[in-house]
Amino acid sequence: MKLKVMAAQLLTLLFLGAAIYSYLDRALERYQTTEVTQHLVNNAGLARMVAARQLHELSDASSLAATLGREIKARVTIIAGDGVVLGDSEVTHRDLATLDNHAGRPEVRAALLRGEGSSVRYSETLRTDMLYVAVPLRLAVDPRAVLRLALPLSGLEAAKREFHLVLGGTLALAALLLVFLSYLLTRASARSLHAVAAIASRIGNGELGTRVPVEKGSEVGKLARVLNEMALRTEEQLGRISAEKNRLDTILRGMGEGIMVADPQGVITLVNPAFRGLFAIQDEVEGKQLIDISRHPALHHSFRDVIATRQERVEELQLHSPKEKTVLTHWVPLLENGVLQGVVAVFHDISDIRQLEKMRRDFVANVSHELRTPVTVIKGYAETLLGGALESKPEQAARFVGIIFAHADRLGSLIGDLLTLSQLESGTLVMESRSISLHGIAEHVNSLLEQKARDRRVSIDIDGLTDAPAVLADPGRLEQVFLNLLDNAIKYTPAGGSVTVSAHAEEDRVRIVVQDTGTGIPPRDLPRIFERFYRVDSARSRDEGGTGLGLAIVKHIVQLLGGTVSAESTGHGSSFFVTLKRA
Amino acid sequence: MKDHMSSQFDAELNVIRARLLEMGGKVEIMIANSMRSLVERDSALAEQTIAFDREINAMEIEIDEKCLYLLARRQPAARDLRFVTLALKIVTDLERIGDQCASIAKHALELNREAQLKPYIDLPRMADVVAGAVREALDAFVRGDAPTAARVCREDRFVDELNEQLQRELLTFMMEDPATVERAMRINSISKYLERIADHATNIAEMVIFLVEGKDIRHSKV
Repeated sequence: MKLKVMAAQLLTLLFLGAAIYSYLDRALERYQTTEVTQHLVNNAGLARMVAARQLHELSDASSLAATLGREIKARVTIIAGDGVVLGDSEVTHRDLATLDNHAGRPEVRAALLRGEGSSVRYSETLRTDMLYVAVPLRLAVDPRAVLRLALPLSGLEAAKREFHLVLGGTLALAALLLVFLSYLLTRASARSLHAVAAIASRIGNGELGTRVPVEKGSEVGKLARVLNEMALRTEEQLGRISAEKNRLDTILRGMGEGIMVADPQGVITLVNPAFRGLFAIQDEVEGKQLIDISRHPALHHSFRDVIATRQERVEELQLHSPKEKTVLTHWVPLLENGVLQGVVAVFHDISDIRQLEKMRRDFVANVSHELRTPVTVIKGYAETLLGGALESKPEQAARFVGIIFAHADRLGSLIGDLLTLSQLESGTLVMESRSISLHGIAEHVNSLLEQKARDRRVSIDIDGLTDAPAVLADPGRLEQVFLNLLDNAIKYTPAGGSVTVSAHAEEDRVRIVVQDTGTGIPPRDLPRIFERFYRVDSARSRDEGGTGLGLAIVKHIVQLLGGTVSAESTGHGSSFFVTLKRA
Repeated sequence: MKDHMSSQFDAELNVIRARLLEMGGKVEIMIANSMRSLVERDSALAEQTIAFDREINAMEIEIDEKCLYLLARRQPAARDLRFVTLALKIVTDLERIGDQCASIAKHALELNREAQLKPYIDLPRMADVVAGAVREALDAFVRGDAPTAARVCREDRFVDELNEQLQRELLTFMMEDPATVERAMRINSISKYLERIADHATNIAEMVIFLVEGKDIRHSKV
């Protein structure tokens, strides 16, 4: 830009210079010509007066011309009326005859016509432009005689040359000065602009805190101020966007639900930590395809469906790996101006809810069934008795009543267990906290179950409790725990098997182990055996007279005593572990 | 022009890979469902599983066609050629696994009609290991993870041992009580199918190692 300004200025100067130059040149030339002409005219007038006095004979013309030429310092020519040159200060008398007839000369004719004539002609003899001025002599002896003065314009040329040099030189100097000053000035403003540009580029590269120093008053100063304002606004804007992004990030990170955003081709663009947890992903996910993250067919089916129909959909997904989970998935297509940009999916882990629902359903179903069965039997037999069997078949009647009693008893135990469980769960049960000998309790329970164990040819060994430390518990409830555990063990151990009870101290706790050599509990059922009414093998358990609540009661009692209960099992037997507080 | 073709080629390779993995996902579901239909005595699920095998077969045909098309039209070389040929093999292994699951489901249907011989403890445990092997083999394929694939190959022997153990137990069962023979035989078959599924998982793992390292480790110890 500097160059453009300088070039413009230079061109203007040159143009102006050229205009002035040519005008002055011509003006000067005209002026000088006019001056010289006038000078010659004046001299011609004077010369005429002299000639009028001195020239009596035409033959004197030559010497007069010479004299006049010397005095006036110009070429003097006297021309007769017929054009013959009578005298010339530059030509000798002898050579006069060689001269042309001058009648045709323009200045001569003009002099005769108008009283004065001038012209400029190139002279072969003198090899320069000559200025001729002619006036009529008005001689009595030759009324048409003309006096002509001539000067070479070489002086004019010299003057002109000098003028050209001076003017040219001045112009050149002016041009140089202009260029120099122009350069200085533009450099100064260019440097300011450069500085502003440099800082602007730094701001553009991200150093948003930088500001341009402002020189007050100059145009560049204004620019600087505007630039600074812009930088400030950009900084603020970016700050707002960054804060917004942080807020969204925090929300996404804190959410319990998994979020996934993918483009229409199935490439994942965004996930949150909850999503990673749900699908057990450690590596980078953004940029990978959906199929790389999960192979679940239903996931891909839903994705393809949402992309095709552009409709939201909600559905439950059953994940199998890494764990069994039920996930409520909400798919939303991302539309921008009618163009599908991708898909957002929200995953909500409802496994626990479904589990609880199932447990509740199972429980209600189980309770109904458990209560109905004995009631049905009781009603049936009672009906039979009322129908006449009481009188007609007294022995059978007695048996029937016995059956009614047994089932009523069963109903009683069931309802009793349910009540116990309910009390345990609501916390209304009052429990003592005493130092109790494990062996004593075990012995008592053993005596209760002895017959049953013998009938089934299962041995019970409680010797492992003889040196066991005392525990802090409620005696009645602890007895119930042992009863339930040992009863189960006997029930699920085939003939010839054994049940072993032992205990040892573990810091401030006592760990009791009830081990059997039974058929074991399948891995799938193991976590659920402490649930109410949960049965591994429903048919057999009910036949044995179990209520399905035994282990649930054990769990609640142990937990209320501040302990823990757990179980392990293989195909060759099960072990139940109870920890209690040491007394 | 070459760029356009190569990006189309890449897209076609990617489609084969994605479909292969989807087929893998469906097979994984089949394994889970066939075992669940047995353990939970869910005959409706068993029927569903048997019907589902048709989808697996259809995918085998689809992927085969895509691979052959790629070989014929694009004539891939080096790593891409290895990939396509191995994809063809993996598809076969997956389809076989599907068949085995359908067979398990068929046996489950029959077993569900009768009383349960004994609580299913060892079969589900074996099935978990087998499903894990299939899952890890496919995960190794996704990640190009040769060490995991090698581990799958090594751990195949555990499944073989479980199978032998179960067969011995069932033999004792049958000898003690001849009435259990039919049910025991079916459980035996299921165990064998599971063992075969594990072998297919090992095949897939070997393919993964071949693809990643260019080493053919079939029929040798890893």
